[in-house]
Amino acid sequence: MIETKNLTKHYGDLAALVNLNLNIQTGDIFGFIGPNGAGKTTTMRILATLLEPTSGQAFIDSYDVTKAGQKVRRCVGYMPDFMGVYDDLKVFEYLEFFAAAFNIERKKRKSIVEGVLELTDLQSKSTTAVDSLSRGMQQRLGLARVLIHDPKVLILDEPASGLDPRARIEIRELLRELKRMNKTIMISSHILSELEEICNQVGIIESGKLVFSGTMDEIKQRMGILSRVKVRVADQPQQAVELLIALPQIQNATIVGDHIAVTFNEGADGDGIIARTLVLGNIDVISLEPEQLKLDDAFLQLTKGIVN
Amino acid sequence: MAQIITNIIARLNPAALTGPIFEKELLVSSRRKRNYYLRFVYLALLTIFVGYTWYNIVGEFSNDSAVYRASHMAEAGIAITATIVWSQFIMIQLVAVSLLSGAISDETNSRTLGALMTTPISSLQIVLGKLFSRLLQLFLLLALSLPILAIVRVLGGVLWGYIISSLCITFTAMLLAGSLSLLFSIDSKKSSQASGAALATLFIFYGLIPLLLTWLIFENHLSQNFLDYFLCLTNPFYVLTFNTGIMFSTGAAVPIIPWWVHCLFSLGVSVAILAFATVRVRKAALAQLFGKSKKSRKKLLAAQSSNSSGLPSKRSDKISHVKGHPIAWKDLITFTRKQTKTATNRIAGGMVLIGALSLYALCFAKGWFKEEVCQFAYILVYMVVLIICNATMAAESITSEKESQTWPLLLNTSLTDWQIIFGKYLGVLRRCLPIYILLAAHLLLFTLLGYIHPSALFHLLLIVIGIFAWFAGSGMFFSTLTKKTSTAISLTIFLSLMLGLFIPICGGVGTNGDAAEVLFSANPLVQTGVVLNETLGERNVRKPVSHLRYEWPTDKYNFRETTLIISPSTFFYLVAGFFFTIFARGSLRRNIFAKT
Repeated sequence: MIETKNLTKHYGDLAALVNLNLNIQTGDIFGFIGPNGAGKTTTMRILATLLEPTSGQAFIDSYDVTKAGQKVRRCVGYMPDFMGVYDDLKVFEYLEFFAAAFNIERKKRKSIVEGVLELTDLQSKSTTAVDSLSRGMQQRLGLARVLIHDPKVLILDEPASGLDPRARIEIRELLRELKRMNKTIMISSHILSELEEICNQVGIIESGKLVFSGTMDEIKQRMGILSRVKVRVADQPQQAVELLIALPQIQNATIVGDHIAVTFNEGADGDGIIARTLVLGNIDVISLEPEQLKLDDAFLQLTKGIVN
Repeated sequence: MAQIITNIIARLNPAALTGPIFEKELLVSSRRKRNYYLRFVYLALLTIFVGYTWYNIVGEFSNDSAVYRASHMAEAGIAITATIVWSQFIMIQLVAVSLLSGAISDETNSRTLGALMTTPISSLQIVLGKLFSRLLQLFLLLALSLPILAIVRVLGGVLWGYIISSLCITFTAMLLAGSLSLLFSIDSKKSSQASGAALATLFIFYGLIPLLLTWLIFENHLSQNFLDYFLCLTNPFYVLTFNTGIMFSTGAAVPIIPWWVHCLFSLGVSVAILAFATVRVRKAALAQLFGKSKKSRKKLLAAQSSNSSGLPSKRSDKISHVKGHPIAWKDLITFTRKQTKTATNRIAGGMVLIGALSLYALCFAKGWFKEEVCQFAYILVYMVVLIICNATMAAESITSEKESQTWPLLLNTSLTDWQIIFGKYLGVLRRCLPIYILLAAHLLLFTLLGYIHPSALFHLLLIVIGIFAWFAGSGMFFSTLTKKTSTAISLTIFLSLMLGLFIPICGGVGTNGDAAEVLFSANPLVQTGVVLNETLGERNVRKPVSHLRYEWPTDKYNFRETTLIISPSTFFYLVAGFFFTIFARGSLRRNIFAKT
C-alpha cells in the first residue's frame, strides 16, 4: 500500500532523507520511530504530497505521489505533528468543511460527519467552537478530520504528543478500532511503548537513513535477542541455576537481583520444561514470567543518537 | 545620593529601556539578508531617480544659457526633493504600520509572550524593544536618503530647513503610526487585523475628522482659526503640505504653529499610546500564562459545561452548513464571526453603522447630496475602502492559513490548485461584497434621483472591475509568496503605490510632466475623479452623453474617448490579474511548512 524507492530529500546541503526504502502492506500499522530530526516528518510530508522529494519515488496505492498527487490525496488522511484549526468554526462545521473539500456529496455529508463524530466520541462537542476544545479533544478532532473521506491510508505524525495519559489511551483505543477497519496506518511517536502495543511493523530511522524495518520478531532476530524468561524461586537459587543450565534448550541462566534470567537457545521454547525441571529438583517456583524485548531497548541499540 | 543618581542614570540608559528584546530583534534582523537587499534597492532607486532626472534636465537645457539652466536645475531640485520627501512620508508610515502589526501578536501566536513575563524583562522593555528594533530599519532608510537629498541640494533651491523639518515630521508620523499598530497588535490574533485597525484609525484622524471639521466650520460660518490650529497640531499631512508650499513659493503663508510643535505633539501622543500599550501587554501576557482572562474563562467554562450537560445554549447550537464553494464559505463565515466575536468589535461595528447611517440621514436632510462635493467625497471614499478591502483580504487569504498552520490541511484535500485559488477569489469577493453592494446601491439610488449622470455607471463599473482584478490578483500572488500577512499586505500596497503614484511622479519629473499625465490617467482613483467631475451636479446630469467633456490630465475628451482611455487600463489590470493568478498557482505549494 505504501512503498518508497530510494527516496531522498535534501534541504540545501542537509540530507534529510537518504535512499529510504519502505514497503508497507495493506492493513499494516507501521510504527515509524527515530530521534528528532531523523527524517520521519519529512517522509510523511512527501507521502502526503506536501513536499517534493529530491530524488527517488514514493507510491501510495500504486499511485506515484509526485505525479498523481490528486489521486493520492483522495486515499490518504494526513495528520501533521502540529495541526492548526479554524478558530471560528464549530466542530461539526469544521468536519463538514473538510467533507466538502473532499468533494463528498452534500446530502451524504451530515451522516458522514455524524459517523466520524461517533467514532471519535466527539458527538457531545459537535456545537463547540474548535478553539475552545482541549488539546486532547483537538487531537481527536484531527483524527476525525483525516477519517472524513474514508481514506485507505492514514499518515499520523505524533498523534499523541502533548496529551495526558487518559487522552493517550483514548487515542490508542481509537487506532485499534481503525486497525479493525483494515486501514493502513503509518504512525510516528516518541512514546515507543505505545507503538509496541499497536504496531505490527516498525521502521527505525536515523539521520535520514533507515536503520531497520520489519516486524518485532525480525528486530529480535536482527539484534540476536532470543526469548528470555524471568524465574522466581522460593529458595536455593544457585541450585536452580545449575539445574537449568544443564538443560539443552537453555543457553544461559544467571541470578539477577531477586530472580533468575533464563535465555533460551535460538528456536527453543519451553516455560513448561523450566517448571518441570525445578519442581522435580524440589525447588518451589513462585513465578515464571516471559521477558519481552522492549522497543525502547531496540531503539537505543539500533540508533546512535545522531541528529541532523 | 550617589546610589540614587547611579540608579537614575541606569534607568535612563537607552539599553536598559529597551532591554534584551531590542538586542534579540537586532540580532535576528541582522541575519536577514532581505534587510540588506531592501536598503540596497531603496538607495539604488533613489539614485536612479535623481540621476535620471538630472540627466534629462541637463539634456533638455544644454543649449540654453548657464543662468537659465541653473534656474531650471533649482526648480528640478525642489521637485526631486519634494517627491522623495512625500514618497518617504507616505511609504514609511504604511511600512511602519505593517512592521509593527505583528510585533505582539507574533509573540502571542508562538506562545512566547507569557514566557517573556516569567523573566525579569518588564512590559515597557517588551514594548520599546519591539518598537525601536522594528522602526530602526525604517530609520536607517530615512538616514540613507539624507546623502541623496544633500546631493540634490547642489542643484539649488532646496533649503536645509525643509529637509530637516520634513525628516522630523516623517519620523514622528512613523513613530505614531508604529505605536498605534503595536497597540492594536496586542489584542489581535493576526497581524492583518492590527494593521487594518491602525490604518482605519489613521484614516479617521487624518482624513475624516479634518473633513468633518472643515464641513462644520464652513456650514456654520465659524472662524477657521480653530481648524488651522487643530490641523497644524495634529495632522502631519497638513504640516508637510504647508512646509512644501513654503519651499515652492516664497510668498506662502507661514503656519500658525511651527512644525516642531507638531512633532512634539506627535511624540507626546506616541508616548501616551505606548504607555497604554505597556499596561495592555502585561494583561495579554498574563492571560496567555494563566489561560484566558477571567471573563473569557467564565464564558468558556459556561460553554463547556452546557456542552457536557447536553444542554447547549441556543446560540451555540446553531450550525451553518457548507453552501457553495467550501473555501469561500469557510472564509466568509470565519471572517463574519471574527468581526462579531467580541463585545468591542460589536460595539465598534454598531458605532460605525450608526455613524454612517446618521451621516446619510444628515446629508439627506440638509440636501447635501445634491452638492457635487458631497457625492464626490462619498464615491471616492467607497472606492478607497474598496481598494483597501480587496488588497488586504486577498493578501491575507493564504498567509492567514499559513500563520494558523491550516494550510497543509487544506492542500492535503482533494481540491485542485485551481479550485483553491478560485475559492480564495470567491472568498475575497464575498467578504468585500457589502462594500460593492453599498457602492452600487449609492450609485443607483442617486442616479435614479438625478444626482449622478447614468453614463458614470458604465465607467465606474469598468474601473471597479480593474480594481478587483489588480488588487485581488496582486494580493493573492503575494499571499502565496510570503509567510506573513503583514509582508503580503505591504508588498501589495507598495506595488500599487509604485505603479499608481511613484512611477507617474518620477516619469513626470524627467519628462516635463508629459509622462506623468499619461501614467496618472491609468490610476483608478484619478479615473474615478475625472469621471465624477463631469457626471455630478445638476448642470452635468442634464447633459446628453454626446455633450460630456471629461477633463483628463492630458486634455478634454468626450464619452467615447474617455471609454477608450479607461478600457485599456481595465484590460491591463485584468491581464495583470490573470498573470498574478498564474504565478500564484505556481507558488501555491511552496513554503508550505515555512515557520511564521
